[in-house]
Amino acid sequence: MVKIFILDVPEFRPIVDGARRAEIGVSGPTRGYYVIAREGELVLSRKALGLKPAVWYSSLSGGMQGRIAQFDRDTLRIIEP
Amino acid sequence: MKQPVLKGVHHTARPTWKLAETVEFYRDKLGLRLVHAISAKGWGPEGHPDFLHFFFDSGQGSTIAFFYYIGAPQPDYLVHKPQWDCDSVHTAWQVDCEAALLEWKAFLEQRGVKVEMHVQHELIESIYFRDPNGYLIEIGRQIREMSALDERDAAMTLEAAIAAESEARARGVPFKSIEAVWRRKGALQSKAAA
Repeated sequence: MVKIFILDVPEFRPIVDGARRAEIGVSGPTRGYYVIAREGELVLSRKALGLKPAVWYSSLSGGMQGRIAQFDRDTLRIIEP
Repeated sequence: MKQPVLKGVHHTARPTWKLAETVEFYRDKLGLRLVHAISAKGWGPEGHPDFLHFFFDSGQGSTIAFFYYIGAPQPDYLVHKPQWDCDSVHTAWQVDCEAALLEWKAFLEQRGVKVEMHVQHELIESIYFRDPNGYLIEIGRQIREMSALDERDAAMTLEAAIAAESEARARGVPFKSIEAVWRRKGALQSKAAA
């Protein structure tokens, strides 16, 4: 299971909203973090989320379970560890 | 002993080898008041040159200060390089709101100061420009207040980062990616949830 932890603050909320729109499992917030989880791989697109680069490149700052397969200006792909 | 308390920045200081240009930039271009200047015979450490130490008002009781060492050549290691590592040493001033930030941006551009970047960070929206020494200056507006949640998150990030650094050191391998920190933080999150 790939998991990312997203701090419950306004600047990271677009990631949570985007995951919900894409019907990726979102739970929380618990102890201040949302958890976005998916089997196999988790893919996020900066443009789809509407994030500016500075925040985009901190998207995983809440912590993760998995391995980064791609993280560039528009795509973040995390796969099973 | 009780924890002593700080009350904000009085001044920050850096050396300059461009006296006239620095005064012209901060006082005349940016419009900051020159509020204090020390001119002194060299004293203290052996060989300390005569010097000027002068201060420009940057609001809320803070100043930005410079040292000018008379007759002392600029060493290579103090030539500012406009790149990420040198630029980590920079001054960041605060304004109240987005309108004030945009006002500064327009003011600087109108006075011929190139605004190099305008960035929306997590907690601050900032513009960046350089002084005649090449030093990077940031003006930012706080987007939201910091909360207890930010503080807890910061503690966990640094706990994970220090552990990642220690592990790399112990294994004699380079600490070369933030991914190790994020994984460790994820493990701390899972542990807290268990």
